[in-house]
Amino acid sequence: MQFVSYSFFLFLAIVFVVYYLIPKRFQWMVLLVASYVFYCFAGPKYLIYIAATTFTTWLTALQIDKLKAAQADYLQENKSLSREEKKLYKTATKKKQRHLMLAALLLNLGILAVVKYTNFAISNINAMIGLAGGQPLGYVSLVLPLGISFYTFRALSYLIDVYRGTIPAEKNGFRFALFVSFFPQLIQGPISRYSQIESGLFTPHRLNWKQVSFGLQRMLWGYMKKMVIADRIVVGLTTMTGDTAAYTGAYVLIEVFFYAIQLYADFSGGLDMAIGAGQIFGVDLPENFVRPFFSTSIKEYWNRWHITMGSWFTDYIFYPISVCKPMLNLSKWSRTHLGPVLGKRLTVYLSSFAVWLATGVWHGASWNFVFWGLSNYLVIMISQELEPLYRRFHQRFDVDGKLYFKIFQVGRTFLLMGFLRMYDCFDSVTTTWKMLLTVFTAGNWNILWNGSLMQIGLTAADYIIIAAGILLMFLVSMSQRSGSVREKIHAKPYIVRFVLWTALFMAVLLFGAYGIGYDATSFIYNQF
Amino acid sequence: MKKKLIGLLLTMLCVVSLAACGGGNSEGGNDGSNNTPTGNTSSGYTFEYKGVSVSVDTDIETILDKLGEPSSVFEDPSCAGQGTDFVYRYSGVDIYTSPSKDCDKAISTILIISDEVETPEGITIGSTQEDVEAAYGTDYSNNNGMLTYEKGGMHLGILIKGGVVDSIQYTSTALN
Amino acid sequence: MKNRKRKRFVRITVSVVIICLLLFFLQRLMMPKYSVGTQDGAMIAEYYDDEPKHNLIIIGDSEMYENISPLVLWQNYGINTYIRGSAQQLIWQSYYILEDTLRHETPEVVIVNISSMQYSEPQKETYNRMTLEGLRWSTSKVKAIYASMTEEESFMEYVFPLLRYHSRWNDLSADDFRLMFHEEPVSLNGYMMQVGVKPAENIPDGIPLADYTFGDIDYEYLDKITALCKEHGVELVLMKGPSLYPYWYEEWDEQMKDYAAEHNVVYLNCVNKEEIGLDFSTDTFDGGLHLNVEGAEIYSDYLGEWLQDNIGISDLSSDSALSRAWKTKADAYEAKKSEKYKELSD
Repeated sequence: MQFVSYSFFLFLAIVFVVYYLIPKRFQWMVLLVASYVFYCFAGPKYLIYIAATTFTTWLTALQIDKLKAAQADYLQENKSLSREEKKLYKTATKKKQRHLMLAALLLNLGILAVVKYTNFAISNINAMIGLAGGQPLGYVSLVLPLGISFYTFRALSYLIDVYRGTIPAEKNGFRFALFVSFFPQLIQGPISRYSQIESGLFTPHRLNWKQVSFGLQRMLWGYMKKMVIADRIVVGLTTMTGDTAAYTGAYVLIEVFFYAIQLYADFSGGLDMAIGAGQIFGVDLPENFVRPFFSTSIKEYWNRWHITMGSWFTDYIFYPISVCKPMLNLSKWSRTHLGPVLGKRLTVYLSSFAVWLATGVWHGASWNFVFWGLSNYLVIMISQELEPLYRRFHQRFDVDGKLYFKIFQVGRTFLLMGFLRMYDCFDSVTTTWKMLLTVFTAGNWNILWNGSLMQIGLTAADYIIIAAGILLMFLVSMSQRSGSVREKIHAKPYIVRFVLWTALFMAVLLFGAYGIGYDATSFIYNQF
Repeated sequence: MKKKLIGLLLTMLCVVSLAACGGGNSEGGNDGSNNTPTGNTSSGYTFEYKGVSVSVDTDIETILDKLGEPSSVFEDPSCAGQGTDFVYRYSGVDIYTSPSKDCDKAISTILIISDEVETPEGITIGSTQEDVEAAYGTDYSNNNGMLTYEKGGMHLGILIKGGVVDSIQYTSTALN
Repeated sequence: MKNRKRKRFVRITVSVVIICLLLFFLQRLMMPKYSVGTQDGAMIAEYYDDEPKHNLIIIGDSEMYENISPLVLWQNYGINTYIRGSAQQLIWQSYYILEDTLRHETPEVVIVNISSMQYSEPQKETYNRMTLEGLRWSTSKVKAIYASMTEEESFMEYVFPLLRYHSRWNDLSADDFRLMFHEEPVSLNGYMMQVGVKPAENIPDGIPLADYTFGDIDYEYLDKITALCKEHGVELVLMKGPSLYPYWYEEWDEQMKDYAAEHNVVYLNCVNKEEIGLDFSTDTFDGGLHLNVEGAEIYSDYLGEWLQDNIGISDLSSDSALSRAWKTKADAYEAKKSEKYKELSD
């Protein structure tokens, strides 16, 4: 079931009514049943995947927790043990926990790897076989279970947190199942942590109209971004990226701009729907975007775009790698051999490399994404290295804090990220490079004003709607800097609120690119 | 302390799935914004008329000049102004067109109706079933004497009556 | 406290009413106005404006609604006819339209056009819309929609057509505002008049088919039509109109003959039937696909006589109310004819 579908509205309405009518202690069970029903719409056979991940991580976490408790009891009962003995005992039980945790981790990552990366692996093996002149292997047809990357990461964060002792294990398997499958965040995140949404999911909720209407408003805003902007602009985008021979040079620059808008409006719009839907049930999901296009550097951009994924990689990859024993040893060695400056950085570089490689691979099973991840890594590392140079420049020309300079930085980051993102749009890494190169070589700038842009499947009316939509997004973002836009509107007289929200609703209804004549475009992040 | 190994393992696994990687080809992104094949490359059977190759699912306008004047053109406007089908009638051959996504006159069927013309594989009205099998093989489905060969998104249908070919048709499967 | 609650209640009620009204007006505005556009979509709805006292109902596609003139049937034989026609009407749609009609009246005779037996799948969303939108809401309409929808369609968009036509804001014309709540009828008891002559020439023979058998679904609905007519005591005539193209295969004709014999219903094939007296060099406006008004009048005259002789359909010409109504209709018919001729000569 897509968020943009009639059945989803019906589904949401039914769940809403049941949720607030039923005795409050059963509310979370309503959400659990609803989430599994929601998942069933994607195909009942995929339930086995999510159920398996839920069951294995829950059971393992429970075992780990038991071991922890047993250890505490044992140490309590045997206070007479020497320090050495205690340490030996702790190491032994820790080892057991680690083995358990690793087993569950590998199993679930294994499932993810098999369904998501098998064909990618086969295509690469085939490429090698091809070089050697052998018979290529056949591809397997595995359909990705809905939201598998998202729920696997959610479940694993819980498992690792329990292992680390930061949260206790959840005794009730059904409650845990709700955390993994909660339907608003099932399709495309956010990748919430158990500690973040536990109270939201399991505290009884009274019907709070303000909260419900805020949730609906947030969803409406999401529909506006997705349906009016993203689904409209995508027509022009696919026309251009679909024909790499015809659309080069200045067109690629337009593609950079279109794709930035489309991806943001699509993905953040979807998240608005998810977070809004959560809010309707009194569950606050973590934010995933904070005005990413206002970032002045790529590093900042990544703190504002797909935030829950970034923090996941930081907490569960970057941090553990940086402080693992071989890394510490390496750090010690490099500091003595390579000097304090480089020595200190080497470990950071290595850990970051791992993070960006994983980020790239997570985004999709293709070399494009690997290169995309590593390009981000490269840009971030280079700008980190040039930091002192920048600082001197800023001081020399006194640009710090100046508005025009900030605008320059924002524009620079937008363009840089836009270019990197183009790996998504073309079928291979080399095509991407070639296409980006044509921006500087084709010299067809006249297409920007000679009417060629009217030939890519978008009419003047489309452009007007897209432009108005972008302007609206921009204004909302500007206003958001000083606090919640919905709160600001809420403070206005009823008539103003009514007109504003009704106008937005009508705009989505009339100007949304949905229904016959528009290809039903699924969310970009569904398949992750 | 050693718990930090987790992270390492996580990345390792990601890398392992790439370990087998060789050449630089890729499958392309999966965001839906990738190339969709446009037009239909005619890998199916192609008919030839007066040295002009005619294939289903292509725009007849591009070859009308070369085919010469048809003996007649029959118009079949569909109900309620939903586009017009045409039948271009040449001696021995009728070519049917329908509006498609890409053009107004996409060839939907080529029908050979007399023995003046033969297929590029040498079959004509009056050829025997053995001739047909020799020219096109035996990988056909036989439905009441209609031998249908499927190739490249089109059908070649050869109707056998009384042991000999009665009519030959090239049809688009886009219509079905 | 109580006051505040009441104020809130009033506020919400007023808001909801305003939104509903807004949506209603928008929907009326955005929906296509068939009477000034594709007129083939207007007739299904126009039926409800005519008094349900017909003794002949004809159901089918353009082979019915462009070929038969109810005025001739009335003037020459006293048959009060309505044609419930729509473009590319499929056999299951014909069935549900029959169901719908029998809810309003029980005619003596129902003629169902069976050329749609050749289609086992919905052909086009546009045709579905033109056939289904005009039907009044009933279980028949719901079932007809579900039976007809193509993959891209959704039931919600039939319930709220605004969802289907929301993007028409770009093509709105003055007519859309003018005709928001009322459209003038385009047909004369379901007949869509055509004038002009384009002789039938070079009509291709049918392309040989691998399988001539009609689809199971077609037979399923034909059975339902037969049963429903029997149930209501209505004489059923299965008819193939006189149109020369699309080609009506002999194999199809045989199947219909067999069906009629087996189910004890009448089958009338009018293709190339000499007794009708049609001359396809003058009586067709589009090269043999449909008849012009002269052709339709000739064909209707034949049909009326055939119905009298073979079915014994009653003559209602003594009904004074009907006579009066038909007098007005005759004037409108003549006016339309001269208007059409004027358009043609311009």
